[in-house]
Amino acid sequence: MSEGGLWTVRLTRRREGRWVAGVCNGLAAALGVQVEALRAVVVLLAIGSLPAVGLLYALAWVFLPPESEEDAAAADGRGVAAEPGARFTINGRPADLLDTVAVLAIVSGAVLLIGQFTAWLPAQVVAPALLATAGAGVAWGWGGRAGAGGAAGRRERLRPLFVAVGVSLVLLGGIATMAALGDLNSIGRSAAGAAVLVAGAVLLLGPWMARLARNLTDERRQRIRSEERAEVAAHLHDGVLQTLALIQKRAGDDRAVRSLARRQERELRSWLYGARGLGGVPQEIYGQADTATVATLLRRELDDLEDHYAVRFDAVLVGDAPLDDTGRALVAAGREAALNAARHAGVDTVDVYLEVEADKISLYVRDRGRGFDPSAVPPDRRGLADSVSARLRRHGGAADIRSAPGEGAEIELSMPRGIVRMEEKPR
Amino acid sequence: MSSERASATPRVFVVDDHPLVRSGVRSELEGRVDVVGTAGDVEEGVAGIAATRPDVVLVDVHMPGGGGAELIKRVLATADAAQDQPPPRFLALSVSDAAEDVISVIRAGARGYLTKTVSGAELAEAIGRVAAGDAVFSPRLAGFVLDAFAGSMTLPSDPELDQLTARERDVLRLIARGYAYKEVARRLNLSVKTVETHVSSVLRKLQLSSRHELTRWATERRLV
Repeated sequence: MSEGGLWTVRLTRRREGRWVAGVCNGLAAALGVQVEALRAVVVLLAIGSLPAVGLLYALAWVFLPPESEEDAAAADGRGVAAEPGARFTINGRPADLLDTVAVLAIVSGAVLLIGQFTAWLPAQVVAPALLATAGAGVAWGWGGRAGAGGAAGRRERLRPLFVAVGVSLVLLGGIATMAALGDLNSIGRSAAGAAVLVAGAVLLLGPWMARLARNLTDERRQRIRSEERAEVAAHLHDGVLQTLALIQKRAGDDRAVRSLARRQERELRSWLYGARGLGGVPQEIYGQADTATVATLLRRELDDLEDHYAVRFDAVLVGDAPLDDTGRALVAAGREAALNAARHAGVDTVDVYLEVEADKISLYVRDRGRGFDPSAVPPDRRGLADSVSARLRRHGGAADIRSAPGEGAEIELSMPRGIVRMEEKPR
Repeated sequence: MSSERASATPRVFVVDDHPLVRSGVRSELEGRVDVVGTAGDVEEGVAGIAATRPDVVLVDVHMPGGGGAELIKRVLATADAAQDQPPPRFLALSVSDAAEDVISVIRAGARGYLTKTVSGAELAEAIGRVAAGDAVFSPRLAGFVLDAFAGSMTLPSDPELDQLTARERDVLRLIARGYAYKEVARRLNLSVKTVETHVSSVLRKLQLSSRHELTRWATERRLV
């Protein structure tokens, strides 16, 4: 005997080898009897009272959950016959012996009783009465265990539906029974009886349903709150605490500490402020290559440089445009300019400004570092001239480098738009 | 700090809910300005400002009890009622990059916005500027304003308030590119005073404009 005990078999409709809906098949598996024997009993009972068995079968069809894939796989692994270690559940929780006995007693009792009734009562009374009973069962069975345990979210959402279905079944069944019992001239009495029934149901169920609703909202609110707290905790743990640990470990390495702190700051900022928190880039498209825009690509490139050089890019991004070849060329040139500043300027922060206008995109990279004489750059250091100026010229743009020794540097890149947009082809 | 120096250097009150920031700002400003008091929340701040009557209030954007915008509104309301002395001027100081935070304190009446990464010298200079009645724009604020006033497709309802002039745009662009006021002035062949005038006029437009784009831009970022 494995975990769960003897009476923990899952009651489902088993599709494998079914005749109609798999009710008998599933029941046989749950009870640990041969399906053929069970079917024989059911057929015999049906000969005695077809409407009763038919109705019970239909109810079982509706309310027994179909067997899930994993169950089927597990059943395949160990054979179709009863397995004491499997799980019998009512409403998602393991049932004890008493529950199971009760279910069996109710089923057989109902069949016997209905068999008796059908002998001397017209079917139009039995059916509604049975309907009402089933409704009460549904309401109590599915609705009554509110908050009893950590039931699955889907079931929780379905609970009001079950309660509503159950209550309306009760009312419908009650009214129909009254109507069928009374003669034509005592319809008034039937109506009064129905009213009494309704009042009784309201009295019986009202306070309980109110409490149920309150329980539900409380539970939901609490769950949302704890989920939020868990998310914050997870984020703080994953990001901030890890970074703090790394910083303590590498406290002597000035550059590493600075770069770690900056990276964490960036991440926390994007998490806290979300949209536009990254200096103009909506967070939800930041990480997606296929929806990249000029601004997101630039921000990514700058983040990448920040990770490798102990420098901070204060980027101000105004407007945005979908990424095309010229946009890519502009950002690539901008990365080269930013890299140049990070390497040679000797400063902690570099200002980057991107503005997308209707007819052009401008990108400025400015530092207050040591500066240089643009005309005196040795020919072996052609990074700026080649990567920046030439690349832009190929796409119809222009680069302007303003710098003097000791006065920092600003590289201005601009690229016309419009012509480009007309050539744009859907890829 | 002697009383004759206090008349020359601005008297500053710091409202921030983080004690570490309060003491940090205080020590960075030591000797540059006269920090007359600090407070940790809106209630305390309103009371402290009424008691000390500072020239400039450095205010954090996020605080318990309503935040920077709420503090500014309440102090300005009580100053209106009193009317015996001009109200203090406000400079927002925040770690937040979010446009809604920045624009909401500016529209509440702050004369400028700086991020907390700013150096002590820059902060002292900005305080002096705000004390003199000018506006202080960080590159990021300039970017937000350019973004908000971008596009001129629709006819503005009030051209004077709802549009930036070409010159104002030039000035803002240079600020967004990281230029200090002095450098902007040199670049555009203007005096620093003229640059300050342009920036103050942009600030006024930002606070008063009911411009269609600005409103839409603001709603997109959940502010009014």
